Amino acid sequence: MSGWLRAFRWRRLVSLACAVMVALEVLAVNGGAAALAGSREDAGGERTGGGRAGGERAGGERAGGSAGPGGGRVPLVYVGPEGSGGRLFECLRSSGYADGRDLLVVVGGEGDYVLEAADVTAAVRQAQAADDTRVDLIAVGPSSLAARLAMLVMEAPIPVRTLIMVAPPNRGSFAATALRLAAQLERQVAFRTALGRLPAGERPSDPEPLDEAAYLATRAYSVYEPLVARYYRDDKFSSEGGNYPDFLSWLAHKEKELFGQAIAGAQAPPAIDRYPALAELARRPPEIDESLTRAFFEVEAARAAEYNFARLFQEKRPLTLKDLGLTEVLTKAKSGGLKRLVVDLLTRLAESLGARALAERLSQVEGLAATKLLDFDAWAAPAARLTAEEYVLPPAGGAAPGRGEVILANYFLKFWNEREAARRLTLENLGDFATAAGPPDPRYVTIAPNWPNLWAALPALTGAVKPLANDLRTELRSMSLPVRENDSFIVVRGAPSADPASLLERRDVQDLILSELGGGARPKPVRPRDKVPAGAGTWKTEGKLEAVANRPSYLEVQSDLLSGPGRLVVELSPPSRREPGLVLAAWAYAESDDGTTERIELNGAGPASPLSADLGSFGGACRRVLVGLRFKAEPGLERVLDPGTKAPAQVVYRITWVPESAAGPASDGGRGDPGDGAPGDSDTGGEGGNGPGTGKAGPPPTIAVIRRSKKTTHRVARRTVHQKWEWDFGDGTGAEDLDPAHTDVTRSHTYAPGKYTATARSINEAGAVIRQLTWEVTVPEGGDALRREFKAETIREPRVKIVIDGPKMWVTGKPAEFRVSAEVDDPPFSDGKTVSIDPGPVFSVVWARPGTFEVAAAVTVRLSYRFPERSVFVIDTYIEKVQVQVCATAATE
Amino acid sequence: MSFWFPYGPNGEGDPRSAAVRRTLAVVAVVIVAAVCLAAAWAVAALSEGAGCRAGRPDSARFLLLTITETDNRVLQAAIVPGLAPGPEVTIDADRRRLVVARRGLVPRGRYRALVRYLAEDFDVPLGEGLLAVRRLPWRFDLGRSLGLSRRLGDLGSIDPSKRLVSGPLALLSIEAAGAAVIEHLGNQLTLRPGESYARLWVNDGGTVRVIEPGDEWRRVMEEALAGRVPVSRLIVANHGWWTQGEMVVGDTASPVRPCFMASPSSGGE
Repeated sequence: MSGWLRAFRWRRLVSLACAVMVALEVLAVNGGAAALAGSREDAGGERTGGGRAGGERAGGERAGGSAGPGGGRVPLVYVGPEGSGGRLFECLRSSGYADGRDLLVVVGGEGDYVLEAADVTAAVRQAQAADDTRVDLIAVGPSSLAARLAMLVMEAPIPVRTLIMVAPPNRGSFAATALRLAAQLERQVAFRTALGRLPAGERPSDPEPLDEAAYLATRAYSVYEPLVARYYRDDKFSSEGGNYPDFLSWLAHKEKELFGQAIAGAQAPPAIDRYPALAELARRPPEIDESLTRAFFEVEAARAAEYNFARLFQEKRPLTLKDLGLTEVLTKAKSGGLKRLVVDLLTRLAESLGARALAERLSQVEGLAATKLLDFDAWAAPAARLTAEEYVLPPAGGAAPGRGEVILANYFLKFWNEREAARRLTLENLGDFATAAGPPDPRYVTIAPNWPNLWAALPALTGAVKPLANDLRTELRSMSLPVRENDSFIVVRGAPSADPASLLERRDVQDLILSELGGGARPKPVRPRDKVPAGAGTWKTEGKLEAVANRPSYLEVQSDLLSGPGRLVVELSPPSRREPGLVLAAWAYAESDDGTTERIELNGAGPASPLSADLGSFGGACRRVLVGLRFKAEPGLERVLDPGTKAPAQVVYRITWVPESAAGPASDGGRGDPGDGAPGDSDTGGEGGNGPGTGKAGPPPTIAVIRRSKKTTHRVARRTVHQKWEWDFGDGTGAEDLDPAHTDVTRSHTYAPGKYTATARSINEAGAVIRQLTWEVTVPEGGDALRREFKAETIREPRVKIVIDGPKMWVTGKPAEFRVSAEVDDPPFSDGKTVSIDPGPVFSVVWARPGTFEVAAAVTVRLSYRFPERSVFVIDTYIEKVQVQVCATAATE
Repeated sequence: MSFWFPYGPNGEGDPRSAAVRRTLAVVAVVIVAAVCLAAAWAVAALSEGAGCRAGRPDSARFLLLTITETDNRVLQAAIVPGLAPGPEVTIDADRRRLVVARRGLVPRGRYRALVRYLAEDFDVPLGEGLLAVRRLPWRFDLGRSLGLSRRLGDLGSIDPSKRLVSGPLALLSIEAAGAAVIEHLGNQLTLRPGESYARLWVNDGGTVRVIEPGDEWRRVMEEALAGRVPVSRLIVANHGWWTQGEMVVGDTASPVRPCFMASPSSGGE
């Protein structure tokens, strides 16, 4: 027995020892990994987001940069605060940019976005030199607003290929807004108290504010506090209320007029007339949007009223740092330097709140000398001060420009976002890429710093249980535009502050900029599975490509794989596991030798279904095909993928190339649509041999239809047409001709003696300039007024007649043949056209069930217009539809 | 005696092994129950539609009730308006949608009624929940602890004793036409769709009084607010039949929040 016990004890000891060893092993592995991660973090963080930085590198060289289509470098204009960009410029020069030739610098950042926009425009014109080359733009910090202003508002929009915005301003991340508001609210309480002590006749109701706090206090006192009292009496504590989640909602419903005037529709546009430089460049000032930013302060005044009600009438005490739970957070901050930054910010907040005693206590928590902490002027942390000034404390004092900066920034952010959204293609509103206006929309690349310290320090304010990693969603919402398929948004982690200049000092950011100037992440070249000689028969390939939400990924099919007429079919399978709320979006660009680019969308039956498209035939004139994909938010959801926390997903692609006979015009043959319809639809078109994989031209395609929603063509109607003329006679007068039918007009104007430059611009339906004509007019001094006539012509849409010849009544189960013919005239100035028909000049449809169905065909006309000063290419797609009544057969065959 | 045969040849039992077997049996039952529950949830999850719909996109209907408590003295500090996290569940009456900030807030499966519970102090949510009523009668303790201390952090900022609502609230039955029969403080009444039940508690010099809707309500309420006296209001409203397809995941921020005011993250992601 005792021997057994001894043995048992030894066994126990041995087992215990093994368990301890295993545990130590596991800890060692994890600890090592953690140490590695920590060291990477300490080394400056890692750049998140998909794609590679730096482009291709050879040895120690830094490749990247941008060669234009003709081989020359694409000019680059940099606009940013004075003294910024030093290291970046060195990097650009080592990549081949030459100062003054293809690298121009505009000093901005003064807050006057309109003036800065004028400077940017001038720099771009200088960079363009004699031709219409597009340029690249790098805009740093607030200068991003000026860059966007220049691109969209100036009378002759500057042609930009890529706009890289480094730390552009947003409307203030939530925490920054919160801090700012918190600081202001306590400050205005003092004003409010003073107002209350004034005799009734001396209380201003709507003063010209010299100080923001005074403005808030005055508006709160005179307008919003009585309404807050009503809100609580009539809604929050009444026996029938409780319908509104907050005061602003109640205000919007119950005080519609006030809300509309003071908040929703507040007006006080920037004083454009104080920007003379703008007047020189633009004959007319930019359109003034109706919603302004004084509303920003009206909302804050409403907030102040709510705060005053709680603070003064309910005698709730002021918010303190202790309420924010900051003490606990500060002790968890990682490094001493960051702690000091946070402490500095918060101490300034405490100072603003009037809680100096708390600030002193805070310094004791940190163990830092109280005098050093409270001596803000001597604080040697410019980044903290910059951030504090920009985000935490509003522009103080009586200087209007300080407040004006905030107003202008918010104004532009709201206004220009909407205008850009209306004029640019978005992921929700995609269409043909090439327009008569010339170059396609520019690509926007946003490089934003992720400054986690502020979020980590204010968990209570952000409302999260744990500190948030970043506030990417707020940044995107407030900073950028609706995401377009070519846009990229990259968050740089480990940034010491929100100061954009500090970002430019980082090697990884410099490499990233070079990479984006070179076109972004390189497309993945497609290689056929089997090596086949060029142009000889069908090839297939499949593989995987990473897809993310913050930037596109591309596959590239080069022209040597597309030689000769043929059809390219692309199918993409989304990953089996995808993040909720995100769907895969895919598209293709077919770049032709004539410089046009056609865009084709890949469709699927549902969020989880494969996306596919028959890209059509290329007739041998295709330079390359790019297939792009990325994740986008599902409709109705404002979601943004945080590239730092979500891993990219693998998308499986299958690409098939089927040569066609070259007989006849470049017409689309069959169209297989494996992605359309619900399960159960046997819509694998291409029966009869013209679909993918058959390798030879055969009978026309047959489209099987089960559901009414089944489409016989996936092309979308799109036309580029002249919409209006904008005339500027050069003497301060102008006119608009809004009749789209006036493509050939003559306009006259009478001039007084002097020299003038008259311009006429033809604007298309998207607001882009199709053609601009200028005339110089000279009327001698001392002479009579001169009446001058100007003749202006622009593109006229071709007259297209489409006929679908086929049965109006049919039966189920039997193919019905349809023939499509298109007559297209030759408009003035056109010097070449190609016509393609989808699903084909001849096709069949088989219905599986009776009903009334729609048969549609798309005719795509590619037109070239030659004007004296330039050529214009247009791709118009017309859709013709017929209805077919399908009856069930009486007996089966 | 061995472990698996706890009873000896003479029928005597081994108490120790029997206890172990009992324990293992309980553990096994718990594991099986957990697996079954998880499977049920998984099935329910699979059947949920994709996209922004939070509920199953079918016609499964439920009665939507709201229980809203409003206080004035629970929060001791004046929270900056707009700073505090907003509610995670809101009713968009204009578009007839129940908006939830996160899909995880939506109860799984089917339920006879859904109760949106919210306790707030000057628009700052103190407690919130979306509660599924699967069996009737259903009881809810209005004075239940909201875990304020744990959630709002500093004790100095809150005074839970200033929440005056009291009593169990019971949902006794639901009629076919959508009327809800409720009981509170000894009162039983029927709320038809669109109707509500309200009570006001006021701490009148240490004595808590309950006020019913009427002339006295407004006078007592205004006096209490003016005098900084603790007051709590309860409203139970019947919003009628809704379907699970009318629940969406989205931004619960106020629809009139100006776009230039950054929206707070709700719940973190």
